[in-house]
Amino acid sequence: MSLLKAAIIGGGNIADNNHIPALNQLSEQVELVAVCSRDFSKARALADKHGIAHAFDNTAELYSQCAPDVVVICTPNNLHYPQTMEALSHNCHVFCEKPPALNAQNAREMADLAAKKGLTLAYNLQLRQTGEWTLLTRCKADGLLGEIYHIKAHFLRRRGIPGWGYFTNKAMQGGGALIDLGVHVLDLALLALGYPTPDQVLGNTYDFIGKAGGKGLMGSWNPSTFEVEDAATAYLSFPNKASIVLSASFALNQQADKERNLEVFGSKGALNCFPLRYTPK
Amino acid sequence: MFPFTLHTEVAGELADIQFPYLDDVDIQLKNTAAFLDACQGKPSNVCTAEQGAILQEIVERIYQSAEK
Repeated sequence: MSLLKAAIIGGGNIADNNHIPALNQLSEQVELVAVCSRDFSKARALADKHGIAHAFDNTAELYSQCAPDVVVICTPNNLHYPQTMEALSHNCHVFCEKPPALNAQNAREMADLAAKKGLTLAYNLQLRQTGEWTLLTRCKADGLLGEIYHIKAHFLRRRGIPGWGYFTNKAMQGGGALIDLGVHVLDLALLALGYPTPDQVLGNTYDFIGKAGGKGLMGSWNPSTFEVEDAATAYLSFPNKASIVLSASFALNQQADKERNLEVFGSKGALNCFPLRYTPK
Repeated sequence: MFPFTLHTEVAGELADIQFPYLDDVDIQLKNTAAFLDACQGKPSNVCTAEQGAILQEIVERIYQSAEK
């Protein structure tokens, strides 16, 4: 198997701390050849820091000069759709940060184009790799759970509205705690049920704390520019009567600073995967 | 902290089985490796484009429900 040639689009924390180190550790399969960021000096600095040859401030030059096989997209959420479509049109496999896009139509078009082109498009929902999830899948396969019919999925922060980045900008992010944190545990809950589509969805979102302002535990935020939900809850019901209760928060007046939990209830047994260990470097 | 627990029934009695020795995993390294496996047509548990489309549809329906 020849070495895959990879490029990173986006020069933020997730590229620097997660994707670039991982790709560099997998050097027997992949060679990271370029970093592309709107800010050239940022791209160059990141490339130099990690020993990557090329830096670009626009994707047109990236594709024409490097012709990558694989593109990793680590930009704000509003860029996932256009940059994924562009990468697929250049016949690249795409590893995109979550969430897939800002809306369902865009995510559907992304999946359709990948299928049409015969390319891999995948999303970085890395809680699937936790030891807890691996054990859950083994317990399920061994029949220890029986039929799974209810799941409680939580990804809650007490005062974790990020004080950096674009997390409170609705146009760029598409939402707040649900689209940023909730998707991680919703993904696992859906996976436990075989990834069905619910026939009923009931949701609520809140922004009491985000809009009022207050003490932050992940930096401070500006309540006057807070445009997203600080908390979301949802009840999903599926055609076979299975159900998911989901909650996600950037800010919620609870005791624990952070709480990530998946409780999976089956006819023979239940698993309490607490806490889901999410430990990016 | 409560470790990963299986709540079940064993020999006619209710049981809570714990798994306190799960390994720590570099989940980003493993997920990137899973993506590269998928690119090469190998079995992989990475979140697929189809699953992502379903996930996004549900997120959108939650937001739409919240606006009602």
